[in-house]
Amino acid sequence: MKPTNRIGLNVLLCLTLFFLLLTTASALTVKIQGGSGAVGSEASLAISVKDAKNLGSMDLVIAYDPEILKVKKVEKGSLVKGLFSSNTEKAGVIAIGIVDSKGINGDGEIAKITFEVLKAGESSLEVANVKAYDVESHVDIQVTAENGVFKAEKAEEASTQTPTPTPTPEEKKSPGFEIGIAVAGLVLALFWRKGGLR
Amino acid sequence: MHRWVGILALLVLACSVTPVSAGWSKEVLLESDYYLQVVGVSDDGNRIVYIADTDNNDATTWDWEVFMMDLETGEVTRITRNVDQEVQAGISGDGNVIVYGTKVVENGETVYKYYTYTVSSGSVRFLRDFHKDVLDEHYTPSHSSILVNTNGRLISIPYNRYSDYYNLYCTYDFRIYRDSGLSFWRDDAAGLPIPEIKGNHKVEEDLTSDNQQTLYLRVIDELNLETIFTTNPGEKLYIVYCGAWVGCRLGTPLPFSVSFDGKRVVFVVYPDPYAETAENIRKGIFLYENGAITQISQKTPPFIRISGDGSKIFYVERLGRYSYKLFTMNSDGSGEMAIDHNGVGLSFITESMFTNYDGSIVVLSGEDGDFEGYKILLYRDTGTDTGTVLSDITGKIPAINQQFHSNSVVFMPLDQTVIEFGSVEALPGSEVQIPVKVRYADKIGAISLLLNYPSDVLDVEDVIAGSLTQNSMLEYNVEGDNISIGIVDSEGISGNGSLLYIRFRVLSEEELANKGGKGNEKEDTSKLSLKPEQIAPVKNEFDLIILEATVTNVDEEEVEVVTIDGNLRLITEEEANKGDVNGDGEITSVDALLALQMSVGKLEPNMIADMNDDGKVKPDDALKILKIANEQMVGQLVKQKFRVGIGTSVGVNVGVSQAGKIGQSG
Repeated sequence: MKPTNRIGLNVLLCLTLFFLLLTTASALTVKIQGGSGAVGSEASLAISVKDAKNLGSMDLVIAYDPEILKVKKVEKGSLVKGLFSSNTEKAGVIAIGIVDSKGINGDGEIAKITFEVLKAGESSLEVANVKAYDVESHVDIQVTAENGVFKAEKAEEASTQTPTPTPTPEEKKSPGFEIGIAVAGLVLALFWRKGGLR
Repeated sequence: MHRWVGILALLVLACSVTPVSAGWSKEVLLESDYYLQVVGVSDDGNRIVYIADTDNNDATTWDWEVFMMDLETGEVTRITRNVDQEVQAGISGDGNVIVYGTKVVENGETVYKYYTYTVSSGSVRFLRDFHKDVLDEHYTPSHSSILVNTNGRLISIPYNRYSDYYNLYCTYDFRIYRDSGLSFWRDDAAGLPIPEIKGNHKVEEDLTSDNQQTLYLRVIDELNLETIFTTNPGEKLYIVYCGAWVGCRLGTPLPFSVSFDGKRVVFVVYPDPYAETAENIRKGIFLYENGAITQISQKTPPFIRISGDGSKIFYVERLGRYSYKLFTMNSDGSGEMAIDHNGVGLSFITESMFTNYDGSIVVLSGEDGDFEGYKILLYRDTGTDTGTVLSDITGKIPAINQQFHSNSVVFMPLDQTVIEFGSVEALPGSEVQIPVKVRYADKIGAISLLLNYPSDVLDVEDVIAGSLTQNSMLEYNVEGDNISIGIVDSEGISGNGSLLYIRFRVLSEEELANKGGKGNEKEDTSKLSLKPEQIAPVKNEFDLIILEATVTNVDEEEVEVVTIDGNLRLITEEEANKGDVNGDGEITSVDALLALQMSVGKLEPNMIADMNDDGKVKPDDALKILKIANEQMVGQLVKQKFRVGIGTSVGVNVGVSQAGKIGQSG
C-alpha cells in the first residue's frame, strides 16, 4: 500500500471514529431556567432541552412554590412544532405534554412559563416527573433533569425592577454534528492540499 | 391429609357459649395445658388455623403442629404431621390455602421451610426455604402468623433480621435497630395456574419503630400492588413523624392493623416517658385514612385489629396486671364499648388477635388466667343489640399532620436489581410493544434472559433496545414459547429504564379461535369465597414470565436480581381504557404520539385512540389524549408529593416475584 493511501485510510478511520463518537447517544437533558424578580412583577422562564434526538413526545411535570409564584400562562417553545398541552389547574404543579410526529432534535426551548411573583422568597422549580419517547420506536428515552430556582424579591429591593431570568441556551440543532462537519472539512482540505488523498 | 378429630377435638368445649355483652357472645374454642396459638382466620370467620403442642411436653417443640378448625361444625383437621417444629402458619381469606413454616435442622444449620396445603385437594407444595446464608444468621420468624391473601396466592412471611443482636434487648437509651422484612411471592410453580392478582385481598401490614423515632408502615396491598416496590433501597417512607416514644418493646412491633383494601390503617402510639413538651406526649389510637391521620382514642392498647371492611376496630386493654378487657368501636372512634366487661380471662395474650371481613368475630389466644395452660377464645357478634356505648368521642383531636398522603404505604428492604416484564392490555389483532424494564441497575455488564410468552396468542415480530441499552449489544432468539435474550454493555447499564421492548402481534379473534387459544382460564375460586364478585374468574389473561435472569456487572461479578413477571390481557373495545393506546396501563404522551401517527396513516388506526367515538383517529383525538396525560401526570405528582422521603416512585403493574427469587444471594 502506498504511504499516501495509508495516510488517507488512517484519516478516514479517524473520521469514522470521530463521527461514531459524535453519534453516540447522550442523554436528553431538560432544564428549567432559574431567575429572579420583584414581587408584583411577571417573570417568564424557559424550559429547554439539550441533545434531543428523535424526541417524539414528552410528559413533563414541574413543581413550584404556589405561595411565591402563580402561573399566568404556559406557551409552546420554539423547538416544538407539533402538539402542545399544559395543565396548571393544581397550584404548585405544571404538567406539560408535547407530541411531535416528526421528532424533535437538537437544543432549544420547548416551553415558556410566565409567573406572577406573589411574595418574597425562594421557590425551587423542580422537574418532578419527566417521560420522553422516541418518535419512531416509541421506546422511552433517558432524561436528565436540571432544576431551577426563582428568587422573589421585595419590590423596593429589586433595583432593576425587571425580572432577570438566567440565560437560556440558544436554539440550535445538533451542534456536535456541525462541529464535526467543520473539523472534517478542515482535515480533508488539509490533506487535499498536501495530496494525501489523491 | 389426615382428618384429625382426636385429642384436640375433645378439647373443643361443647360450645360453652356465654353472653358477655349485649350483642356479643364468648366461646372457649380450645384449651390445653400446652402451647396453643391461633394464627389466622378466614374472611368469613368460619375457619381458624392454629399451632398446637401435641406431645404434652413443654420441653419439646418438634411436636408443634398446624391444625384447622371449622367453626361451623367444630371439625378439626390436622394439617401437619412430622417431627419438626411448625413455627408459623396462616390461612387464605377463602379458607382454602394454609401456609406453614417448619423449622428444620439440616447439617447443623437451621432452615425454615415453607409449604402450602390446599384444603380442597389435600395437596401439599413446598414453597421455599430460608437458610441462614440467605438472610443472615439472626433470621427469625417475627410472628407466628403468616398472612395470606384471599385466594392463597400471595403470601407474606414476617421475619426479623438483627444486625446487632444485643440491640434487641435494648434499654430506653437505645432504639431498636431492626431490619424486618416481609418476604412474599406468588404461587407460580410450573404447571400451576398463575395467580390472579386483581380483586379483594388481604393487606399485609407491619408497623414498627426505627431508631429515628419514626413510624412507618409496610403494606402489601393487592388492590394497588404496584406500590410494593415504590421505595428506594434503604429509604423509609414517613407517613407521620410523631415525635413520641414509640418504644423499645423488645422487638414487638407496635400494634396496628389494616383493612383489606389498605385504605384504613389503625395504629397505636405510646407515650414518651421522657416527654418534656406537650407535643411529645401524644399517644393513643390513630386512624390513617385518605391521607389524614386522626386520633380516635387516647388509649394505648397492646393489641388492635380493624375488620377487613374497615368498619370496626377491636382492641384489648389491660384490666389488671394479668388480665385483659376486649373493646370495640367504629373506625371513626365512635360507639366504643366493652365486649367482655369481666375480662377475657387470659393472663397473657401470646401474639395478637384476629377478626374477619365484617368484624363479626374476634379470635384471640394466650395463657389462661391461672397460668396453667392456653386458650383460644372466640367472640361472636350475635347482632341482638348494639350494646352500651361507653363513650363517643366527639370533638376529636385534630389530625397529627394532614400533609402526609398516600393511598398505600410501603417499605420494602429491597436492595436488589429488579427486572420486570411489562404488562399490557391489547385488542385481538393489534400490535403491542411490551417492555422489559430494570430498576436499580448498577453497572450491569451482561444480562441473559429467558422469557416465556403465550405463542398461541402472540407472534414475536422484533426485539428492540430499550432506553438503557441504546449503546449495548442485544441479541435474541425465539424458540417456541421462549425468547432468549443476551445483552452486553462494556460501559455498564445503570439506573432505571427499559432494557428492551418486544414487539408482538396479537393474533386476531379468528386466529385465536383456530388455535384454540383461550388463555389461562383462571381457576374458578368464586365458590370458595364470600365475595364472588370480587374474585370472579378472569379469562383471556396470559402470563409473561421471566424464566431465567442471569446478570453480571462490568467486573464480571454476579448480580442478585429480583424478577417480576407481567401479563397480557386480551380485551374488547368496550373494555379498553380509551386513550391508553399502547395498553401499558397509563395514558402518557406516547399514546398521543401513537394517535397522531395513526391519524396521518403512519400507523394502523386503533379505535382505543378514537376519543370522540367518531370512528376515526384524528389529530384532535391525539390532543385529547395529551390533555388526559397532563391530568394524570398532575394526579401522580400529587400522590408522590406526599410520599416524603421515598424518592422517586416507580410503578409496577402486576409486580410479583417468582418463587424463590427474593432474598437469594447471588
